[in-house]
Amino acid sequence: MTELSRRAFIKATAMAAATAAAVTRLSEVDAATPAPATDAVRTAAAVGAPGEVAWNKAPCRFCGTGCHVDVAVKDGKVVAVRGARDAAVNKGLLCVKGYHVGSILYGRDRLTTPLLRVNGRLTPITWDKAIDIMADRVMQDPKGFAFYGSGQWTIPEGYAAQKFMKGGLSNNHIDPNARLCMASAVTGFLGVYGVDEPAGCYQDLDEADVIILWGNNPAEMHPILFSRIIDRRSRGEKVELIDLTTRRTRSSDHADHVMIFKPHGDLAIANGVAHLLLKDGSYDKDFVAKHCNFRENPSFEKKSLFGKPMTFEAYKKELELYTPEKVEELSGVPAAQIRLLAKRFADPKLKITSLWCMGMNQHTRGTAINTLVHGIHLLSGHFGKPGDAPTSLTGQPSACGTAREVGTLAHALPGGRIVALKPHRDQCEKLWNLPAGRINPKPGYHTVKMWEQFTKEKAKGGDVHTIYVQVTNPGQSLPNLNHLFSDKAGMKDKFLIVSEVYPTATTKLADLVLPAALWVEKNGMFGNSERRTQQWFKMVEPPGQARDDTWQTIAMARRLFDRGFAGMKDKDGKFLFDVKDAAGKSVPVWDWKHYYDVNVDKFLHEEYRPFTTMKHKDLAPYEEYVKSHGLRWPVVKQADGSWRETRFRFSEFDDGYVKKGAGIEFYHSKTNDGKAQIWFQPHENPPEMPDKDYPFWLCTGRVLEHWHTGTMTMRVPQLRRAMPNSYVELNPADARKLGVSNGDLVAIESRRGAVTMPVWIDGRGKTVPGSLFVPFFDERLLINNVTLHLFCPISKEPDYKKCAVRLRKV
Amino acid sequence: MNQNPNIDDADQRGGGAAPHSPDAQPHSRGVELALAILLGVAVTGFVVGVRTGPGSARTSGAVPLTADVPGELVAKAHGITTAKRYNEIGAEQRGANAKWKSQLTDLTPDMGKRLKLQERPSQAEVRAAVADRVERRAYDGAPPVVPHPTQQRGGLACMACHSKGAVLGEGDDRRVASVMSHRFLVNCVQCHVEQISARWGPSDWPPEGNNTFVGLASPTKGPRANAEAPPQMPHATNMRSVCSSCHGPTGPRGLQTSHFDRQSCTQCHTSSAVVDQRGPPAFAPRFPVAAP
Repeated sequence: MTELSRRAFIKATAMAAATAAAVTRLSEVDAATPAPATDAVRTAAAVGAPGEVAWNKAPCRFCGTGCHVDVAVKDGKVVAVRGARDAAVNKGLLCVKGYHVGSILYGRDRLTTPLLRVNGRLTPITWDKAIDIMADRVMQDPKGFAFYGSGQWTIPEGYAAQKFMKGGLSNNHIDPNARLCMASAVTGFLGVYGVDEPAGCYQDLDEADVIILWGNNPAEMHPILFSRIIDRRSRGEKVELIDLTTRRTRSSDHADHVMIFKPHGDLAIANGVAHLLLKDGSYDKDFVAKHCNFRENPSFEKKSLFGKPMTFEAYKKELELYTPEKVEELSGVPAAQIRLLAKRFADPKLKITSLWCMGMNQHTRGTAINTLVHGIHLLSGHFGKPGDAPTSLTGQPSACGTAREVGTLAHALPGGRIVALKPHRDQCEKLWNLPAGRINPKPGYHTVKMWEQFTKEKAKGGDVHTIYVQVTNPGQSLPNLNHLFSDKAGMKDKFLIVSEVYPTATTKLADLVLPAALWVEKNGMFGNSERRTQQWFKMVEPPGQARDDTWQTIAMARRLFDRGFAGMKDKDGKFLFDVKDAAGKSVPVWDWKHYYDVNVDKFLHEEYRPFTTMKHKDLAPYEEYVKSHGLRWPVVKQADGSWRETRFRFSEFDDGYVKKGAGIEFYHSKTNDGKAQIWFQPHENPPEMPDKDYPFWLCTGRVLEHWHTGTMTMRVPQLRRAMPNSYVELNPADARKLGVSNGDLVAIESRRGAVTMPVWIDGRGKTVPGSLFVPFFDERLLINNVTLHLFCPISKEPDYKKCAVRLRKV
Repeated sequence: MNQNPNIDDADQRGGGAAPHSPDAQPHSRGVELALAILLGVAVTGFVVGVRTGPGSARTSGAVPLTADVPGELVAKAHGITTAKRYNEIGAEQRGANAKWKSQLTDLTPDMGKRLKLQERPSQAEVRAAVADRVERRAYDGAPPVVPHPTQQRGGLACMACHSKGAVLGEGDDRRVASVMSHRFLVNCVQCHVEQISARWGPSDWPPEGNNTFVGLASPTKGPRANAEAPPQMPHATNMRSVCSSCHGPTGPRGLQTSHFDRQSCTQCHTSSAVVDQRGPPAFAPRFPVAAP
């Protein structure tokens, strides 16, 4: 074939495919829009003729990686899934959870009708009655109504809940389960850069020479990102993997250096690296002079998010203690390995990326360790170039997009604002067209406090009477369940509303259960770990009477509006969620029949967009996300009208908001000088440590096959057969002492509770003597009956990784 | 030199009845006893000596027992079982495990023999192969599950059998480990997971029937442009490039091609752009990409 004819052929093929794609899109519009196509109402529900297979794009439902999948729908059911070939995140690959994500819709026990607990039994009721009951609970005492949401909320779901609570009820008791998972990463970013979320992106993983895993196991938790790293080796590239961990994992098996540290030893390790950089004079003097300030807490006892400035000399002096030998004593990592780690940071030619997830976040000094890891990257100048980045990974698909950016936290408002600041409240009231003073300036209850107040009798000060839970399973995922959840049983004046897809540990104590639409049964948007916002259309109908969470929130709001609840009106007396179609006509979306008459997601997204520019987290118009496999914010409009995403924030070569000539500029610096803060944080012992009575460390976590509490993955045959039940990982030496072997049952007991489960020695991971590991996915074996609910004083994120337990052979 | 002091001690003390011992006193009863023992040994020796058997060294063969003939030949000719040399013992397997193969290269299928097969598989064989294929995946395109226990850590263990397609077992138990059909990816268990019903103790949730997901069916036949044209691939290639993994000599009988010898499959069998969803990337980056 000549060059010309080959090109002509490719062009013709491309044209044909593009036409086919356009036809598919058109047929979507036709099928789902009874009225003329006045707005982009494009649910893919009726895509494809009977018997035909139609493919459409969606982000995976599971973790924060944000893989893009192609979903095949045939006769109104999902029949197959594959990694989207042209998706930048996963490049055609998925993990075992992602490949089986389609099956999560079809577990036999899907909830399909609203259920009210009557005389102890859940009894079917109508949606109308359910919405009435919810409105009653709010009317009873709006101040005692709390909303418990999720990092699995779509962005519009979280936005609707946020507006309902803070803009409608003047009530800040709204917090997401993301508090349990990435709150310390947020406070880390805020404390260092003055603005949340990673500066780098996944491209760092392709370009780094050294990748350091700070207490995380991406081989199981972020498999796509992990294979993106190690597959480089099979292509002949050299990438050094350093695994800082408390137990050997699948990730350790691929590591060049495995550095096993004592729980909580990470603070000492980071300080040890900083100590050596300063002592050897190998820190990046130019970078530090240009871009960094130094900061510390007001005192050892008093910690704060922004602390107080300190001089470089004082910083250096504080670090004198952390010699490699001292760090070895504190962390258990040999001094030689600390020196090796520091040597890597001291080498300006290397590109170093640090990754972390729950190990650093679920930590009673979570904010401290987060700031320290950013600190050694800044001190050594390993920042702002592709491959040189401190990057936190998130565990939920929209912990970034919904919890962090929409700010569905007890103290926050959309777009990086906080309730405590009047200008921020004013801006939100203006954007929402609310009367001045509507937003309550006092932060609401964070997760642990919210559940403490809920499970405490009203007479004893428990002032939360109702919690509305959406898209999460606190009955299994809260720490110290006996204290924070189980006490609810039998309390007459408490009411738990749960929107769910399957029966869970939470619905066991729920008074009202609402069947929810899941994943591609609804429109949605997620924001992943690398600031990438992704969008998808509804592809199949939810089962029975299951309905969207956004609809549930809006329907409840409307019922309150109809009853004359003042908060549900804006300052012109209009309903808070006055969703309009393209012609500007209000659509009664609170009526389920009309919910998909208009694209509510698009409407809410466009309402939310103006909030995002203050902190330079600019989002593009909805239509841009329809056309892409996600865009990383800030997405900035160019002179030619196109929208450009940003891969490397604060770096002049890629971030348009950096001042020309600055190279790197931290333009939300808390010190208003374009500089980031390098923190000193002392090493401290954790609040509970093994002792004579409770001699073992307990760490909890996840496994490859199951996602979080297993509500979805435990209903997928291939995943459940791969990992049918939870277990306790035990070191062979401890097993010998205890006289147990594989499969023997042991009781794990702490000061708070107990659980009995089988022992697995040298299985998925290998613990060091004196420490245990238990995954938390199994609702029959609730390890969170044992865990501790103490949290980081700044992020309020509890520590699931360390508590003291004892073992008893059963 | 003997370093054991106890043995040295014993030598110094001497044996009680040693003939060179200075204090040995010849005694008539002692002589009688010695003679009796000598006689007994002689009689026993004669009886044992006349028996033929594996250890016997009779010289009744054609080959003389001389030093210039190799020992093995002499032994064979005389019906003698010789001891193995130490360097032979390692390679040889005896007893109950004689058929075990301890070298991976021994497990590689004999391609030369199998390449001669030119017969098309029967319909029953095709159905069986497709049924196996369906059973091992949630839908067409899903990564197949692993039908045997896996290493929980140490991902590269899979490659021992799945790089070349190790043959395990014989006769009805014969199994050929499927050859990795796609480019080398390090973390096998990221996509392929073992299937067990319970890890210690019974499972309270039989997966069958508890999920109503029905996966995309496995394809059957690819279309042909005309009766003589080679068929198009009926399935997506996904990222697979090694057709012989399923269609070659190591694949299940029902999926095997009739022409193993031809190596360049895509010369005649095209993949389907429809099934593979090729064409221009629907979501190509639309911005100039900046470099540092």
